[in-house]
Amino acid sequence: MARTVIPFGPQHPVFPEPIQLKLECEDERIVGVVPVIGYISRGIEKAAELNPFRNNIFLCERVCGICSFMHALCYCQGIEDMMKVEVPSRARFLRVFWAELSRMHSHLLWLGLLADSFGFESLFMQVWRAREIILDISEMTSGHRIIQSTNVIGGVRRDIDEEMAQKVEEMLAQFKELADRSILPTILNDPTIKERTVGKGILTKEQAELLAAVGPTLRGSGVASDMRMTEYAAYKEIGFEPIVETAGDSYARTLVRVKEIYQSLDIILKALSMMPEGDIAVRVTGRPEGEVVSRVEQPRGELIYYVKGNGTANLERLKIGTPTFANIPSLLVMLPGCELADVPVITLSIDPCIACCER
Amino acid sequence: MNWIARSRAKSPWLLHYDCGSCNGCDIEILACLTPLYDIERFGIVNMGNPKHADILLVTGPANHPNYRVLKNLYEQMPEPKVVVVVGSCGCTGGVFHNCPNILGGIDKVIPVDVYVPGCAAKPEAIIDGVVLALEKLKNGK
Amino acid sequence: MENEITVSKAELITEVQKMLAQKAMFGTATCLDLDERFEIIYHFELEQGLKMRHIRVSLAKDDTLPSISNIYMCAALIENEMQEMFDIKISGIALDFKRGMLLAKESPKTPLMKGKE
Ligand code: SF4
Repeated sequence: MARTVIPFGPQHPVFPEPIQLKLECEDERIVGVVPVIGYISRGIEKAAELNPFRNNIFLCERVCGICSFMHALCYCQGIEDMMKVEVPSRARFLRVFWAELSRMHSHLLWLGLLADSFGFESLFMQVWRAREIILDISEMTSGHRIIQSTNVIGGVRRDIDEEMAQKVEEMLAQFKELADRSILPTILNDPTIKERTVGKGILTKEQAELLAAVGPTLRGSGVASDMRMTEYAAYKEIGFEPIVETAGDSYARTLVRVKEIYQSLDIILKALSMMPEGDIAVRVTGRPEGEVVSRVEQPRGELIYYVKGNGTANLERLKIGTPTFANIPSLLVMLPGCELADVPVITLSIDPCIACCER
Repeated sequence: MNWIARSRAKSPWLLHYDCGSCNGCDIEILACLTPLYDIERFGIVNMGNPKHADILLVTGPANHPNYRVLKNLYEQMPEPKVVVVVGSCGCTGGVFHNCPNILGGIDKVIPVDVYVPGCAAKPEAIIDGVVLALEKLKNGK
Repeated sequence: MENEITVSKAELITEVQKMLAQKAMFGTATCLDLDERFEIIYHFELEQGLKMRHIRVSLAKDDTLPSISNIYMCAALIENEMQEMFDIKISGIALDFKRGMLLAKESPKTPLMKGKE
């Protein structure tokens, strides 16, 4: 049969960001995919060598605006590791608080986009309405809706007092009520969602391991791997169990994320109640020297920073290994065999973040 | 003012283009479309087609790989048109000013009418910027 | 770094094959420009990502690095990136973008090399 190549993107309504997939089709069926990336590459790794190491936090936060807190966290943990800084425990709990808040907002954002991609407009609106509560919490505690910017090397910049913590708990209860009422039942029971996602874009466990998938894409295929198991920040005290689904299809990945929203909510409440009194940051002097690899779990998966310092105010090298970059090979095996109309949903099911991917 | 010009200001159509932003401003633009901010109450509709659009909303700094796409989109839009840049990095280059693959602010590539600063710009600020752009549309530049 | 081994260019492929036999997952790779030579570090993950293993290879600037993308297909993207950002030659990448993956024609060439400020 004759083959046609259909360019999907770079400007496509389901992607807020430019990426192109060259889809090789036989009739309606996809037989091959070539990704074309690079539309928004900026060259952040180079700029990170030109800036003083403390200023790099602001740059790292803007690798990706959705998970900016995690980028800064990963960077700060790397530098702290290198300079042998002991972060006060209150700061570690506060870091967990904001990290999980970003995870919730990122997963909700993604859920909305997924709903939009198969034309479920009202779910999209509902999810984004619930998300605004999370953003309000973020604004109240950090001063900004999405780029919290509370990390500094040696701790955090802001504290959460009793009164604020109480307010946060109230708002989270409000969120939970909304999510329980209008989001969770729809995801679990709605036949149209299942119709569009169950059995679509299957990634087996073996494939996922070999192709080095990360995050919910990996956990949706039955691999219990989550960087929070490495117990950075305060995950050791709070305790953590990864959420795993075994089906490996788009629906499994959706379920992992939805359950993680609830899990994050629990972690936030625990972090607030277990938070010890004390300082929120230590003063850090000196210059970083040596090499470290720092890893955190971002909403989309594992984030790897390789940092090399040379004893000056500037870094020798900063390498940012992002989850979307790691998930693209998996996407390339999910797509062949599916129908053209399912491409948007399957592509979204890995939660692509192109700004991360191209840096 | 004839009725076409009047309706243009009453219901402008938007085209959003991401030129290499960090996503921060993009998701805030999306947030403008959702229930809390709901810019549709100003008659604003988000469009995917440059030939339908009156307002071009750009986020992110201009960079080597896609400045031509941006120019192309701008040229395809019918007159009168206004360009709104959202976010500090689109206004001047912002945090990305020393990245090697960056040209600088959007105004290095196309003429800009409204600058919305902020990193990320808040939805309120974005709406303000768009409403300012409407004034420009109404007065016909 | 912890759990790091240094291998020569000739041993690289066998070492990577050993990682595959241990069911290690590929993390990412980092290239460093050390003035007179390149250093490439491959980061692998063992035990569901709890442990890491790094393989470091040193390479003369005019030498060619064999691609590991025939063993770990997912390494192809990062190898393409290294090839673009540094002036390094890598042979046999499974999906070769020929230095056109991230950078455009007008972009500065090999921007991560030292002395390019
Ligand atoms: S202005 Fe800031 S938040 Fe907005 S796109 Fe640019 S870097 Fe991101």
